[in-house]
Amino acid sequence: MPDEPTELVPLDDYAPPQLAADDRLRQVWGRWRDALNGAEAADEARPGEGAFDAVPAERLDRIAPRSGLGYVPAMLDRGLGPWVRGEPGPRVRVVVVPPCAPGPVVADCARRHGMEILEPPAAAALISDPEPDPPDLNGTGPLVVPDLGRWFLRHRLGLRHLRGLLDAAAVTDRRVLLGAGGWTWAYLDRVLGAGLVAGDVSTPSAHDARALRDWLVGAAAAADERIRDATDERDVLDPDRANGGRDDPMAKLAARARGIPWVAAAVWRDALRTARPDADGDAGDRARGDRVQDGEALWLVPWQAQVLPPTDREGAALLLHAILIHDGLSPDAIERIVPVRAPLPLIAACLERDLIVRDGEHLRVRAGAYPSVRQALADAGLSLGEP
Amino acid sequence: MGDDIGSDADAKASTLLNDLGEISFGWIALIVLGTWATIVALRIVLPFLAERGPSPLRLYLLGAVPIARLLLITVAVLLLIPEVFNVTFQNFLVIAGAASVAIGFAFKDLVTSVVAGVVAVFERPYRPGDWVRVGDDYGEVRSVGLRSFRMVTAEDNAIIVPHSQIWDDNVANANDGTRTCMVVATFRVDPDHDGAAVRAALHDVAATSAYLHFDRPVAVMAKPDVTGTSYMVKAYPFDLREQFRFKTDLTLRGKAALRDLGVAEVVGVEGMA
Repeated sequence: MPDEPTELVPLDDYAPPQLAADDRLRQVWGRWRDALNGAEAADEARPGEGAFDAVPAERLDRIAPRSGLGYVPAMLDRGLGPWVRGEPGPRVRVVVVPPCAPGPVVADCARRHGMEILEPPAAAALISDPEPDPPDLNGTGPLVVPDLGRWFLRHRLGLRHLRGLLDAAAVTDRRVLLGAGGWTWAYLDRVLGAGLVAGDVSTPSAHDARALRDWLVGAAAAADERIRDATDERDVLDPDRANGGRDDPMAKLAARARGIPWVAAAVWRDALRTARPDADGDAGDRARGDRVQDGEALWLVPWQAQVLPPTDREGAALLLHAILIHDGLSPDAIERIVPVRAPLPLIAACLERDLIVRDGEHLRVRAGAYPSVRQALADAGLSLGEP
Repeated sequence: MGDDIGSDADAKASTLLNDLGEISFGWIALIVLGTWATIVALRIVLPFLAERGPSPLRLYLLGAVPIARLLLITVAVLLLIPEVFNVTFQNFLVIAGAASVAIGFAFKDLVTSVVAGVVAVFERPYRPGDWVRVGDDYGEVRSVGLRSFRMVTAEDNAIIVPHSQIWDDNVANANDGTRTCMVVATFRVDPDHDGAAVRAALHDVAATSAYLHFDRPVAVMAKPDVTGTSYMVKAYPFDLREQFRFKTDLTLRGKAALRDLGVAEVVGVEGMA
C-alpha cells in the first residue's frame, strides 16, 4: 500500500478532500433544487433505480467491509507509538476520531499497545451522582480514556464526571491519552474549555481519492468484481479515471465522505447495485438491456442526499446533533436532553429514513447518512464538529 | 403684452417637457410595469428562497430585497427622466424649485421618510431578518419599504414603523445582520445563598442547552440589589429564530437548578431582558 495516508495531523490542519469546482456548483444547485421542491423530491428514487436491485450483504462485505477502518489503525499506531514508548511528547494527548466510527478505535489501539484503559462511569451515574469521586489516575505507564463521550451527558447535572476527569488529568504526572469523537471534542473544547488540559490534539489525516482507491478499489479488484457507472456505463475501476479530477469517482467519494474512511465505505456500499434480471422488456431501453446482459457487474448509481423527517425537521436536527455530540445516545438519554415534542416517534422516523441505526443500547448516526446529516445540521445553523 | 407672457410660458413649457409626440408612452409603461413586476417578483422570490434555503444564507437573501429595489427604482427614474423632460441645467433648476415647494408644503413627512429609507438602505441600522427594538416593541424586521419598515413582534403583531423614526429615536438591533443574538435570562434570588454554586449551576444550564451556539461565550453575571441578587445568564442561540425557545429553555432549567440548590427565588422577578 504505497499511497496510504500514514499520519496523525493536528486537528486544525485536517483538510477534507474537496470536489472539483463544477461538481461543487452542481452540488449547490442540487441542494437548492431539493430545498425548493420540498423534502419529498429528494426522497424520490434515483433516476433509473427501477433497473437495479440491492446487492446481497455478503457480496458487499467482500468489497467494502461494514466495519472497515481504512488506514486509521495504522495511523494511530504510527502516530502514538513513540509517545507510548516514552519518547518526549506532551503529557496529555487528545486523539479526535471522526464521527460514526464502526468500532472502538482508540480502545483497540490501547489494547494493541498494552496501555491501561480507564472505564467510564455507568450511564445512570452521569446525572445521579451529586458529587462524584474524582477518577483514580494513579499507576504507571500511559493511561487511555478511549471515549470522552461516555463521561458526560449534555444535561445541567451531567458534566460533573467529565470535569472531575479533566481536573485529574490536569494534575497527574502520568501520561494520559484522551479519545473523543469529532463532534464531542468540538463541544467540550469550545463550550467547556477542555482543550486547556491537552498538549496536543490530533486526528487521523483525511483519506483522499488515492487512499480510497487503494483501499476500496483494491478490495473490489481482489474480490474479482467489476463495477460500472450507471450514468455513463463506464468502468469505475478503470485506471485511466484515477486522475483525482471530476472524472474520478473516488475523488467524489472522498469529498462526499470528508475523508472519513468508514463514511466513504458506507456511502460506497449504499451506491452499489446489481442489474435487475426481470427487466420489463422495454425494447427502447438499451441501457437496461446492457445491464441485464452484464448481470455479473455491480453498478454505481448516483449518490443522493437523505433528508430529515419533514414533519419535524427542526426537532430531527436537534436529535441528530445531540447524538453526534455524544457519538451515540440511548433513547432514555435522548428523552432527557433533547427538547422535542415527541422524541420516540422522532427516533422512529429517523430510523425509518436510515439516518440513525441501533448500536447496542445506543442510537448512532449511520455512517452512510453522515454527509447528508452534516449538511442538514449546517443548513439549520447548528454548531458543527470536525471533520 | 398678455400675448407675450402667454407665448413665453408656452415656450418654457415646451422646452421643459418633451413634445407629446416625442414621448414614447409605450416605453414608459414598459419601464414602469417592468420595474414594478421585477420588484414584486424579488419581494416574493428572495424571502421564499431565504426561508427554504440554508440558514446561513437567509439574512443575505432577505437583506438583498431593499437594495435591489432601490437600484431598480433608481435605474427606472434615470431612464424615465430623459424620456419625459428636456434635460438641461435650466430645466433642472426649474424642476428642483417646483419640487422644493411641493415637498415643503405637501409632502414633507413623506419625503423625510423616503430619504431616511434611502439612508437606511446604505447605513443599515436594520435589515430584513434583524430583530430590533423600537420604543417598547421588539420584533423581527420582515420587510423594508421606501417609506417604512414592517416588523412582527413575538406576539405576532405587525407594526409599521416610518423610517423617519431613525432621525429622532434609537433603534436597538439585537443581531445587527448576524445569525445570532444574545439572550439574557434573569433570575432574582434571596440574598442568603452560595453565590459560587448558583453561578456554576446556571453556567451549566446554558452550556448544556440544545439551542446553544458553541462559538459564542456563556456568561453568568450577578448584581445585588435591596431585596435580593439578580443573576443574568447571557448566551447565544445557534439561530435567531430560536431565541425564544432558548430563553424558555434557560428559564425553566435555571429554575430547576435553583430549586435543586435550595435557593429561593424572590417574588416579583425582574422580567427577562
